[in-house]
Amino acid sequence: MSSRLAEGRRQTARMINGAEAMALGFELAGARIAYTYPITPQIEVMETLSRNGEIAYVQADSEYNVLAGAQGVAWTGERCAVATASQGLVLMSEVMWEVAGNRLPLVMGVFNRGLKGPGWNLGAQQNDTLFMRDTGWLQFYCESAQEVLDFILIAFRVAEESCLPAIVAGDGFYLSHETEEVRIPDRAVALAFVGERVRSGDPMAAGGGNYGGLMAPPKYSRACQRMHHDVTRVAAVFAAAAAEFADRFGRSYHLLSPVHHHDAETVVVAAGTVCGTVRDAVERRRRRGDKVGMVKLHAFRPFPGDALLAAAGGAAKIAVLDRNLAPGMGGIFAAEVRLALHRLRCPATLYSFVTGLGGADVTPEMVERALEYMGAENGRPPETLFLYETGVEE
Amino acid sequence: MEKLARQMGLLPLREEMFAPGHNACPGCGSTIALRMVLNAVGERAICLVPASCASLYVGPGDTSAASVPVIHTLFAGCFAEAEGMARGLHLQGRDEKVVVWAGDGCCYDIALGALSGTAARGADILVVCNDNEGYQNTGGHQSTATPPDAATRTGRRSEHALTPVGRKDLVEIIAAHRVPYVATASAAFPQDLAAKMAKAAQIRGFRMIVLLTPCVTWGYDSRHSVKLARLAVETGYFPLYEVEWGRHYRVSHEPAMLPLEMFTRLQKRFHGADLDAVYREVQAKWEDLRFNAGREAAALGEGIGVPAPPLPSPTIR
Repeated sequence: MSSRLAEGRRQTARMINGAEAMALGFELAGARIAYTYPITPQIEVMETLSRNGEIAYVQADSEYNVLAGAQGVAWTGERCAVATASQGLVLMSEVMWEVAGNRLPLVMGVFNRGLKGPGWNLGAQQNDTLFMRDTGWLQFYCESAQEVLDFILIAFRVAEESCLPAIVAGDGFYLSHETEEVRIPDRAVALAFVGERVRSGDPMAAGGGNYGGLMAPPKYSRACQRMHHDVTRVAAVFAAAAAEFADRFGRSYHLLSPVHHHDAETVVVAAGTVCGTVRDAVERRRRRGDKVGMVKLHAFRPFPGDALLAAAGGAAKIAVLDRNLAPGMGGIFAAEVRLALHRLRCPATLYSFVTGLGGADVTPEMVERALEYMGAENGRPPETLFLYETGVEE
Repeated sequence: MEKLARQMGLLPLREEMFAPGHNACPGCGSTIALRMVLNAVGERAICLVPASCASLYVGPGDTSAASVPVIHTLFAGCFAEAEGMARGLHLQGRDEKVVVWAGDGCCYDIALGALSGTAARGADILVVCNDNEGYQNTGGHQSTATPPDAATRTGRRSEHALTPVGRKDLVEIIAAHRVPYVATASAAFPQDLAAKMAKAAQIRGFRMIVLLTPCVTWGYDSRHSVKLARLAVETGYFPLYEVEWGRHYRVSHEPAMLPLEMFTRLQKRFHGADLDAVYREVQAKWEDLRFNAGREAAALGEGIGVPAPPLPSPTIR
């Protein structure tokens, strides 16, 4: 055992929920200011942060001003805790673009919740964060409270190294309110991992100058191009950070994690808490001799398309479970996977299942039902399928 | 002369915080004021500018007319962003002053919630409202700072309203938050402006100064910019006063109370407007102001036995 790992193993195990884990992540990352606004199911994050006497706690007048305020903090080079959900995130959307364009490395925790479309909804649905797809923010999705804490730490490191902001997301209630055992790193070791905040872009240190003013089209387009390349390059930055994280704390993360994929004829792709359900269904099927595997996606931006096909490209059929919906297009993760299949000329047939919208429970039986549907269906499947407890619908 | 120039913050030249080379319109009333504002705050400052003419005129391309850093922000995001910045600086023990240069569209309309929020949270920021009574950057459109009967590119506010409308009184709205300092000022009264800026710069907490800055979209000859700013004050249309902690009022310049029409007739936007309505609004403002300032004077034992100061002059026809 390396000495670093021994050091990192000095971790405290505690029973906490995802919201507390998120707040702890910010504390351990050295945030000295928290900008918040109450919204379910993020509320316990702000309550936990408000109890920390070392964090300057600010309750703004809207989520819009939470992010604007946090951006102000980021300009000075301070780390800031920000967490929201659902309507709050969508209200922030104008500022999301500005933060990414200013290349400020904020990290935001989000507990996914359905948006007020047909009606109010409190359950888990990923449309809030996925709506931010084009802003330039990195997006990581978590399955457990442990991952929430760990990814907040990794996200700070990656965001600051790549000068890009990052979202760490988890399903509302399933993750925010469920209590589980979480190993909490030692404060000094966590801070050593995240590192010193380098205030290189601090405008106040640079004297006069314009930041974010009118940009002529050639300069604007180059800035956009650079942002695109920088987002794709995050894969390498993440790999290095995650390797050091594993070294220090003994938990290993990648942009995606495959299970039973080597000989799998059918692979199920998912992100978020539904991965636990999929894993259970895959194990059940494996025990019956079915060659089924899964890929859990940790990252949506950067999208690990190449790694996904390296892991699952050998399968004849790929299912994507989406707890989100872009009306008229279908599942959003499925659309990304479809693009990757096309780009890499992968012949696998894609089955896109939209399921669990509005926080509806997704059971292992439902996943098995989807697998059965795929087994029976050998033609070209409809572009989008809806998976319910009662079965598969178009 | 040099002493006056120094008081106005115009000398010595090397301390100039806003230099020639900006690309505002000829006759722009706001750049004159911005220069005075930045000179008064000094070099240990950072300026935030939401969507406005200043987003364009401070620095074409990679250049900047300002000697302090200028951060261009979203229309509605500037106040909270300034608050966050001030918090970050405090945490680091730094002393840069955070100044927001925002128009009336921002302060009165799209970011009024944020202005109220940051005021209520005691944000340590100095907000300077460049009030030119409309969305002038888009070409002259109505804001809730536009006089109801003044012509704009989309007609008069009174034409579109189902019931009679007035202007928002931003100074009173913010004063009602019981903030340390709110004042009005004008570039036509540079000493008054500099004194208020100096006072505001020394106070910690939320401070706001509302400037009436003539804009050429009002339809005047560009050489009249400063004259209009002066007439706005001397007719009583725009009172120069300050409010401390939301209760302590002081009129900082006693206007000559020239006929209101001397101000309005130089501007095309008031042609054909119901000037009686403008007059009534101005008169009501002064009645309130005299009452509030008088209460303060009485509390201090001043003004007893002194004749009541004048109210504005009616419009001449």
